[in-house]
Amino acid sequence: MIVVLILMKIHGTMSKIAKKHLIFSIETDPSTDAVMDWLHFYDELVERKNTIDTAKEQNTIRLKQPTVNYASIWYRKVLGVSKRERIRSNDLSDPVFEIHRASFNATIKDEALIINDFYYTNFASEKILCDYYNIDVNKLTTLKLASKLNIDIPDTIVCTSKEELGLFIKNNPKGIINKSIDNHLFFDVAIQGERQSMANYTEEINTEILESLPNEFRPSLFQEKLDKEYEIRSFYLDGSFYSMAIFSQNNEKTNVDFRRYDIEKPNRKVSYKLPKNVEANLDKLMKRLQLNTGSIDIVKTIDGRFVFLEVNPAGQYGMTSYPCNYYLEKEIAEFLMKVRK
Amino acid sequence: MKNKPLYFLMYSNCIPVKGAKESIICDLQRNNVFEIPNLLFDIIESNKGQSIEELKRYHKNQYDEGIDSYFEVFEKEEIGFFTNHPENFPELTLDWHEPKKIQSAIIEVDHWDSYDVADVFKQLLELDCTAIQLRILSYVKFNLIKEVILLTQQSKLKNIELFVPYNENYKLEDFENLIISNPRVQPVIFHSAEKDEILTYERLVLDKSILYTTQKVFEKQKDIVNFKNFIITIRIFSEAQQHNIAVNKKVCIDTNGELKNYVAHKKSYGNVKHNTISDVVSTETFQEKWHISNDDIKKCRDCQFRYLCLHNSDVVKKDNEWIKVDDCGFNPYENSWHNE
Repeated sequence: MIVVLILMKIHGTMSKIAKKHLIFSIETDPSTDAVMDWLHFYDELVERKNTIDTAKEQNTIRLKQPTVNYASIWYRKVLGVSKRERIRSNDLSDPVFEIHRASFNATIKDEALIINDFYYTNFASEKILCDYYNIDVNKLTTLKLASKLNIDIPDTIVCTSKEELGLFIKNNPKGIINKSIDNHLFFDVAIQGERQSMANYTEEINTEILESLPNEFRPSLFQEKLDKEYEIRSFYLDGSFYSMAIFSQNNEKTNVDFRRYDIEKPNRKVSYKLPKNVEANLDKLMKRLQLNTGSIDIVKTIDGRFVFLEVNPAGQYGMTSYPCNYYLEKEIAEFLMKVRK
Repeated sequence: MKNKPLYFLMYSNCIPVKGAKESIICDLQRNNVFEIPNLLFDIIESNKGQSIEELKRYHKNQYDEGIDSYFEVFEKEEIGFFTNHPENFPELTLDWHEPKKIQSAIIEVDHWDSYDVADVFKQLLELDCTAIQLRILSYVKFNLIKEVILLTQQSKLKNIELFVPYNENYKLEDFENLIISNPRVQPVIFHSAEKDEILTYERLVLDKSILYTTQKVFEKQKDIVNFKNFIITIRIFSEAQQHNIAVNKKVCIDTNGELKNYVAHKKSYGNVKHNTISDVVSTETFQEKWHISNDDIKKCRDCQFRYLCLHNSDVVKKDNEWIKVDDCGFNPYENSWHNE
């Protein structure tokens, strides 16, 4: 009897030593550092692979090598999220290839994606936070699904003509905005010799802008402009919501998109509790999207609507954690350590 | 909005604190303090959970005009807002957690060989210390300083504040190279200098600086408490609820290697020549004063600045009550400073 007990104890300790937590991240992510501090505090072992490491590891992949098992895996930041910037147009200088350059590039990109997908999913764990396969959410599918689950969404159109857009403006007398369909774009340009950062911020479309548009344009997303009372950023983790209200309306500068930061008088950010039914419906949405974490953007309108805008699975939760004193880094560390039932 | 909302709420990060004579509102987001009369503090407190009308009735309609005008001022100053849904706005949680065993350390060195400074650094890094202030009182060779700074590369340490005595043997260039190749070192301060000057080096992430000051740094120096030195953040405010923020999770090593809560304190809990830092700071006796918050200390508990103040005087028990050994220069009963 005693022998068995001792053996079990040793086995217990050994499995703890053997199993590490795996975190995919980038070199400069303070949120990852903070979670790791908590894991170390609890004497857990952590292996962190930054994108610089994962890119290297992808150079050689041997399929017969056994898959490594981890206590947990957290896909905090992966190369796959920015798949497009990873694959550079290949140098096909030989004129023979020149005419087929586009299809060559497409094939190279597809192959790189296959390797990338394989690489990231070739690690095993019972506990996965922000699963690799669900990181890329389709904005349109998500909005439609939300609407089906009785979550209020903004009136939304994707169109390619000035005529359609004109009708949409007529239907939305309070105004409309233009938004990116996928990720936000940031780039630097030289304007009169000075480096300036450009980005595709959310922009209001008035009749003046409408008039200036060509008759046909690339598919673009437009939404009704919402009369904001405040914005809500809600961090979701395993069924719980950690919400924050952002009062951006006081401040003219940040009226349309609060990312246009105002340093001197920053927007008020305070802890917030969403109504129960809103939380219940959003919880259903996250479960349908198979996301156990994400940052959810909501607008509370002056007339009382809670309008869902989008969910970002790998969102910056530090911007919710610190102003509301939520200690989300500690919550995440404890989630990773919790033994799956 | 057509109808004026029924409720008025303070933003949850604007927290009123009552003092014996005057109160303040701590704006923990914009790092600001508003001084208010105690009567207004009482009104804000009684406003919790009530509509504006209920609040006015609660005060027997004596202060209707005052309430209206103050709430308007608060709205304009953006420290409060009108709403019909107070149930959506919980109070700010004042929990405080820290995963590091030691947050910060002060190392005071007069003679470089009075104890093993490099070993002290190694031990602090072992403890995952976040910030180190190295106070060098008398001239030591640059290479010795550089040696200990290099130990911190690849560590979890985030910041080293370096105080060195101004000396003609030092080459500015050496220190410039040091701060640029070691981003953790910020700032370098030449004390006892002949001038006051700030040199700034533009860096990609955070600018670096080297400062000259005519002020001297001497052994066991005490801090000066001043309104300007208050730190108004959620982090400090919540830590101060249960802790003495001047000494909590801090360790100090004085010129003789004595391990203390703060260099100017008399009480030593060990010496780096005989004890490991880890052994000493893990003891309950060393940590006792970490948990004595201003709410537990005579006079401090009546002060409106009690959750902002970093006064690092030692505390002792007298007549079964904790008191601060040194005077901070503020009298909360008169609401006046006498150290200026």
